[in-house]
Amino acid sequence: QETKKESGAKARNICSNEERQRRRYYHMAYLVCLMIHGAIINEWINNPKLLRKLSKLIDENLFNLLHPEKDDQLPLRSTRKLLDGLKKCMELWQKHWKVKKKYAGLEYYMRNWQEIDGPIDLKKTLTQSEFVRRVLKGHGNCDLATQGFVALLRSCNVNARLVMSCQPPDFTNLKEQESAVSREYTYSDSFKYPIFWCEVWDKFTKKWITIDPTNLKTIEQVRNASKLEPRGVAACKRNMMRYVIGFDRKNGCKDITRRYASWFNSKCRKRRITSSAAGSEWYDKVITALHRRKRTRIDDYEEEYFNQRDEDEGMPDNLQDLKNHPKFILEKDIRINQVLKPNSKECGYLNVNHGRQVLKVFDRRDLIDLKSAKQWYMEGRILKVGSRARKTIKKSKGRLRSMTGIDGEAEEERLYSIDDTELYHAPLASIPDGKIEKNAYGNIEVFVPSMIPANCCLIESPNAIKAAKLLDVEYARAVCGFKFEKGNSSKPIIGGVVVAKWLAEAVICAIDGIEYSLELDERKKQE
Amino acid sequence: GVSASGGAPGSIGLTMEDLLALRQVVSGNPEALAPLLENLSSRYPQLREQIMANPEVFISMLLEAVGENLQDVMTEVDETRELEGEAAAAVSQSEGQEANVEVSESDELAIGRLCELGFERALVMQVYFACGKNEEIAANMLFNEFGD
Repeated sequence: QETKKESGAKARNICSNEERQRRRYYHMAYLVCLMIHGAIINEWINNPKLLRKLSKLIDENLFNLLHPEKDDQLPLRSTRKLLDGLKKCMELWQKHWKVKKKYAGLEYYMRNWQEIDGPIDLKKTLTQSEFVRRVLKGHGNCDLATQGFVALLRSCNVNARLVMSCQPPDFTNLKEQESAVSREYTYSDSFKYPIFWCEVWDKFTKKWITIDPTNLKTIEQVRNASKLEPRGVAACKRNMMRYVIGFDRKNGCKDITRRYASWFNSKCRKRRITSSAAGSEWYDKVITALHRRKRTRIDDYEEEYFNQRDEDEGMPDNLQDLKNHPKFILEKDIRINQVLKPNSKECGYLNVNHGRQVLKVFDRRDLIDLKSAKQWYMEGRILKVGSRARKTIKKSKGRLRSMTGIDGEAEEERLYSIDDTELYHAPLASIPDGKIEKNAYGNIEVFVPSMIPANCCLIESPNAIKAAKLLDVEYARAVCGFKFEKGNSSKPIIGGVVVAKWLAEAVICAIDGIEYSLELDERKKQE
Repeated sequence: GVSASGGAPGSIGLTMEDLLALRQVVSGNPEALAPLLENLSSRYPQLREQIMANPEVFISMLLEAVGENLQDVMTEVDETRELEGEAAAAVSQSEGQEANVEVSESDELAIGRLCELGFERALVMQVYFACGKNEEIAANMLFNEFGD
């Protein structure tokens, strides 16, 4: 039986929720595999025999260009020498590459969800020794040629990165069926922008130089936009820039997408798994596992560069890109439980409706989240003396206003910011008895750990109350949350007991004893 | 060394054969990655949870252990071949090795079986020991690297 929602979704060509989750998982699995691939090729590039043989291709003059002396008068002269050297290496490599094969299939370019199936032909696998052999011979497609170029540079001790733009299938694409294209895209359209390229560290400008030695055959020092960023419908179908990864010769692995994606914080971010907190955490684990070296000064310089790019990116010029933007908020999107800091000024405007409407845009750092006193208490915080409400809103009692049909009493709710609150410190248990102060219901509220009195601890066990009673010690039932039931009522959830620290060990032993005897009873029943 | 069938610590329950195939495809077979990943995800339901909860385990599984053995053998064998010429080099290397390595009865039998697949004894011994005396991995490697 299909729900109304599901049949509506089908009509709009949107996949089911289950399929959406599966695509998200598959995107992550595919991405991890691609990044591992980059790390493995990066290791192959460091193959000693390969480096030894390639170094012979670079004569003394070229070597000196690649390692210029520091020019104290004009550091730019040193950079120019380096750029000249890199250009000559590029030309040298183009002569070396005898057989430029075309891509056999989609290779590392992006597939859509209908293109996942296919034959698994293991015989076509490239091994490290084959990799070395073909690079030395100069036979292969442009991915191999680029990887060989990185090896060439590393062979004469240039700090060269292998860069890979990973193209897992798009998890934000929820289309059940991909729409047909009006005209087939050509090979050169689809593969116009590279998947692999190279970066070289320039110690004079303290920046990474970008080189695509085989596809676009270009060298650039990326300031605000890169020639390698895919543009155009045909190219973007197979090359959606989301994860640009730099692998260096010390087995470092860094996400350097910020350098290449103009709209990293809006368009690009939406397509990355890192757009959600959980996805971001997962991605950090992956990078950490692949990043196998310590932090260096170069990392510091690069971080500075990325921060500058972040600032330079600025505000998007359309409504869609401003939605859920990490740095900007539209005035009209400010929620009822949020408020702007006093005296905040808008940082920009957006024209919508063909210029008929102008919307104000604010910096998210000027936005404050507010909560009621009760909501703050659920986080273990109480209002400071003398704090005044930042905002007062109307809230009808209970959570089911429309269902009851009665317009519930419109209650005023006062909202406060975190700065209006302080951490709640529960009164200490008495010495020596360990008597705990309880609320009107004879319980103690422990929604967060900071609500436990300093000289007590929380023992979470279904048998804790029984144990405490057995020992006849002072204790208090701990309310850890609420369960919401029909109507407007909510029931407290008892998560265990709070006892004085000096009584805890005894209570835990008693719990063990109770659980052991329960186990014995169970076994007896089964016999 | 790694155990012959799935169940080695950190292998996420993949059989050695599947693990090797995945490693090969991830290193150098982009066309097969999409369908293989699909195939493994349906045959190993725990794979999804593992990758989403502990990607670092998946990563180390593919980068280390099996990978290293394959790597070392490749470089070793390549360099030997190059320096002196195939047969001679292989024999001299393995002779040197035999003096230092204990060859047990079961090892002898395994080496014998691998030779019967059609490979030179010297080569077989080198590969067999480099693969941690694992007959299955050694057989795979011999076919992939030195087969027709």
